[in-house]
Amino acid sequence: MMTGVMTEASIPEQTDQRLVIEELRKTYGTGAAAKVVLDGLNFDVRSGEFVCIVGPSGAGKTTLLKCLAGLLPPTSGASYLDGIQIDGPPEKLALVFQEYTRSLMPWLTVEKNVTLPLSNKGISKRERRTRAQEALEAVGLADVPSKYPWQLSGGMQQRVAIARALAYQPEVLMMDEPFASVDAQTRFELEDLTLRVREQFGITIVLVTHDIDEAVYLADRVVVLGSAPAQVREIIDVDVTSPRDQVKTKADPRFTELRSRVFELIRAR
Amino acid sequence: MAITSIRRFPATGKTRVAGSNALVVGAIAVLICLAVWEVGARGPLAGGPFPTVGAIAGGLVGLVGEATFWSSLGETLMTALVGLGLAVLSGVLLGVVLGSVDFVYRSTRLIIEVLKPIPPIVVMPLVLLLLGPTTEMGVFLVFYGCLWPVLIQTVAGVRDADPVLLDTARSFGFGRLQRAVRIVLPGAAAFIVTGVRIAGAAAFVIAVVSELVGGAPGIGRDLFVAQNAGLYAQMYALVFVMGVVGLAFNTGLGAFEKWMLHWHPSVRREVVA
Repeated sequence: MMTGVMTEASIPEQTDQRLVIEELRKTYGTGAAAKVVLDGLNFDVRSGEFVCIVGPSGAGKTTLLKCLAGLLPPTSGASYLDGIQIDGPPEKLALVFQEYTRSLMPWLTVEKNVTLPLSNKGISKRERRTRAQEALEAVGLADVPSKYPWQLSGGMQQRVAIARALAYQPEVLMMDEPFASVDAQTRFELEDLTLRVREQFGITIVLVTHDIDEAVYLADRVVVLGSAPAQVREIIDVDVTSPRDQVKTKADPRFTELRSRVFELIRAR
Repeated sequence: MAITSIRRFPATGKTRVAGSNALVVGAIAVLICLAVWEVGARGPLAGGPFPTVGAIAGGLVGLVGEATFWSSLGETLMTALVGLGLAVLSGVLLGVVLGSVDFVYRSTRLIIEVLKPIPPIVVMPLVLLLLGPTTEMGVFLVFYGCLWPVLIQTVAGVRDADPVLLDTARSFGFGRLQRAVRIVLPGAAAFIVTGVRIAGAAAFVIAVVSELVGGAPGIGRDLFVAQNAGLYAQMYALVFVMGVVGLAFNTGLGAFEKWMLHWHPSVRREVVA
């Protein structure tokens, strides 16, 4: 209703901003024992963008992701999803955790695991099954719906977790070190799978990792955090050609250059 | 305090006896026991309250032919199962509340710790005063005795809920009640089922005691009556029946556990793709 009198300056310059993080601070404990984990972070994620947050271990990456996912209230500052302040788990957002063995329900079959979050959305049973099937197909697991997660390998379990997030049809997918617990070969496969899925579903992805190669390989932009208390050291545009390829991209001089840049930023005191 | 489900590791070859062998060995042991009994009953202990094996078998045949025996047995099983059922229902419900709300947990802990070690038989005089020598009295005692293991195991299981699982559920917009029903309860199943098994083993025993000592109707009271009347063959036949029924009860609970926890590491056969 006020749009008519809005001045030029009050309109955000970027209208496709999906996620905005403003002066986000998180402190654990109070008084003398208080420990600052996130020290006033500022960055944004555009619609359809793939942003990797990379930082040394113990830098508060998981804390940051939990704040963004609405699982943890920030001490001060705020984050916004499509202009709405995040104060609880947003409906448009899905999460994939590192610990796939602990984030899948061992008492449910793969298909039931994937459809579990949908039971909340008032979706018909048939639609749920269809979505599960599509999501499992997208991660290359169409043939195991009636198995239990613990009958699958680690990489396959993480695929199930990704399928579950996809079936939820989120607009933003957040992933917390999703490939840190699988072997190197599987990791490459899952990285490429994530890139494919992003293409196919057109979702915005925020991925937290401590692996610099992974961050540069996957991201459109890399947010580099310094060691605790975390601050944004720099935001780097990854201008390597797409689509990415495990061999070609990683041999690209530009890739190597960016990789070194991120490494130096992280190492810098 | 709490007991997690016992992990069954595959037995090592040396100590393991093949299925049919175990049966033979067991049968031989039973035969030896019966022989010792028979020798005792015919020889040094003759004339005392030790009827021969044949006489006890005769007593058993006589029992099985009587309708009152079956109604007594039904009565005892009903007492055990109803008491156990009520205990599981309230133990799980109460346990989920106690386990999820920290304040309630901390404020009730002392009360539970004090009440838990009181054996049901100690409560019996009071319950007898209130309910008399009735089935209700027996059911209450079974309920009382079974409540604690179920409650304590449920609380432990609920408090053991995986934070990653809970975060996952929260991120998908599951509310408190939904998390309790769909995540916490199944996650605590291993603990709860162990509690139910402990409670179940006690349920039949408490039911019999409530009849034997408290006079509630059932095979326990029949045992008391047979003993007073000097019908020793019948008395031992009843003891034998109790043994068999108790065994069947526990086997049934074991099967229930396996069925409930087919997905759990303690039961499932590990298959790695």
